[in-house]
Amino acid sequence: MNLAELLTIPASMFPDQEMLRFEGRGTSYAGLCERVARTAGALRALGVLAGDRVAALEINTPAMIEALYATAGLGAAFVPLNYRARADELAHLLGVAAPRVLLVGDRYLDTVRELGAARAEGPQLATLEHPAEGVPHLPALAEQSAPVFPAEVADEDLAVLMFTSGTTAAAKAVMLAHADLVAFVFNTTEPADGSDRGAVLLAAPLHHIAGLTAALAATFAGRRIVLLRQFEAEAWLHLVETERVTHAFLVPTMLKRVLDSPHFAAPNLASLQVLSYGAAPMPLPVIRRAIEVFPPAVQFINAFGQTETTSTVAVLGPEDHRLEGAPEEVERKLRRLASIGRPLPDVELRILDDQSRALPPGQVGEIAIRTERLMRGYYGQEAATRATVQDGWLRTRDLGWMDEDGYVYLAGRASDLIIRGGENIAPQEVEAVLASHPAVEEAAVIGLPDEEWGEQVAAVVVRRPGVEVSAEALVEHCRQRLASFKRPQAVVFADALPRNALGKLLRQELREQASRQPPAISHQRSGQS
Amino acid sequence: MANQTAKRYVCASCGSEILVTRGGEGTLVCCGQPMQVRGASPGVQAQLPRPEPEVQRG
Repeated sequence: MNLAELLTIPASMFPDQEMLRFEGRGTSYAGLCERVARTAGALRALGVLAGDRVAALEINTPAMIEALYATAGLGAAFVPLNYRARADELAHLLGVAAPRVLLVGDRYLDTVRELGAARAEGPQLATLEHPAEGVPHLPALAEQSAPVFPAEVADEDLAVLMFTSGTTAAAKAVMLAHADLVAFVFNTTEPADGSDRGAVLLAAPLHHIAGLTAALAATFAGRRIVLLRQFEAEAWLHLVETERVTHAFLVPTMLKRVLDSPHFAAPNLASLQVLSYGAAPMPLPVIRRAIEVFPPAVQFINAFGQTETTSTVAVLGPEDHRLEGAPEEVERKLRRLASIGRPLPDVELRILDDQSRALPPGQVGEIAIRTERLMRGYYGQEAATRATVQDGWLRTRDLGWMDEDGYVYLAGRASDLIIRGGENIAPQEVEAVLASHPAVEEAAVIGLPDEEWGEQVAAVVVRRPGVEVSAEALVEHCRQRLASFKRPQAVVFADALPRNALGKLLRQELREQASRQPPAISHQRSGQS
Repeated sequence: MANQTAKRYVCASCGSEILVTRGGEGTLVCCGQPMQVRGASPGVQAQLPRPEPEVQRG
């Protein structure tokens, strides 16, 4: 089944139902289908065929959703890129994905031109918003194009190529097939039936698996998608109230900003029924506060998943968020709030020891996952795929344990990856940039708990003997060379880095040291997205 | 005979087609006979000669 049929099937039954809402304008199923079919015609005119890749660099707009379904309809793969990536990082992502066409929003056109994507051997550029000199304008091209309807695809045909960690040079492109995404939607969503299914506020970016799968599920469920260009707490609160939003997903950082907003007023959120969260560990104080101040009817869901598993694999449901009952019951629920819940019915989850043997409840090991919607591998990286998927099991490199009731708790990451506001950051990348500073002898980067971002990037730096450099100068050095969310927010100076006898960096010891010692600099926490 | 999620089943008699959104162990029946799963598509990704694009590079 073609992914694009998640749109065309309900559209054929309920053509007049409003499907998409963006900045006050509504689009029906039939209207969206028409635009998608013509966009597919435009992409074909640009040379896109089945098996090609179509990349897109744009914030959340209707054009992105149209491009997603149009690309899938042609049997090509959609590659949503992280719009916060720097030019050199983008060049790497484009080098891996090798798209035939690159669709660009207005604000990214100059960056793309600078990095030379328009040169002869690069992808064909097309603008998504306004016309630009010398570049085809996709909407105009779509108007002139004959509609093209979804092609037949094989289950294993590639539908989406999604980068695991936004922008890092080590980013891997996860291959998701039509069957994987369709399975996620069918296994987690009731099909549209013409009844009022409410409205979902889509604030997570479409280059993130949570945003993309939320759009697919809502389309098939007949739930109106209220699209937000980029998350901003005041706009989010305004849309929930004015668009009578019933469902929403937030990463922990977003939820905290909503709670901290001076515009937060529970009575204005009366329409809200389900608030899901995930993509990063949720600080307990934040979710407890949310449970207290959101309207009592709101059902909270912690959705834990990965790009490699086509989104959610474990869920902590609404019942576990109701802090009611006898004191021991409340205490148990509070403990469970620190968990990621239990695996979904179409997911097997095991805790494995270092010999790949399943561990009993209570013991910490590596979390391994098996599901029919596991990725098809990392694009062009067979060795990395073999290392990650073994005997049909995804080795997550997340450490965790399971309690007697099947609730799963995270216990750090074997890979030391930092997750800040839902964005993955490889410490090695930031370390390499710090080490390139002439005053730095060596540097280590770790994630420290942060109530707003889940984790913040902290650097421990050893200066060259006799050389002075300020923490501010090092942060500026990183700012010029890294995506904004990767630059350290805290810098600690040390005489040496803790290493074991073999010279291996002891990151856990670093974390303990850094959390005891006040940083030389602790950067602003807002406006850095 | 079980039926599978995301597969289409066709009635050989009347041509009705259904899409299974949640698979199960049962047999789908139409016009008094079991429906047939529609043949696996070879897909479009492994085929097609590449024509020249209609729009020239910008």
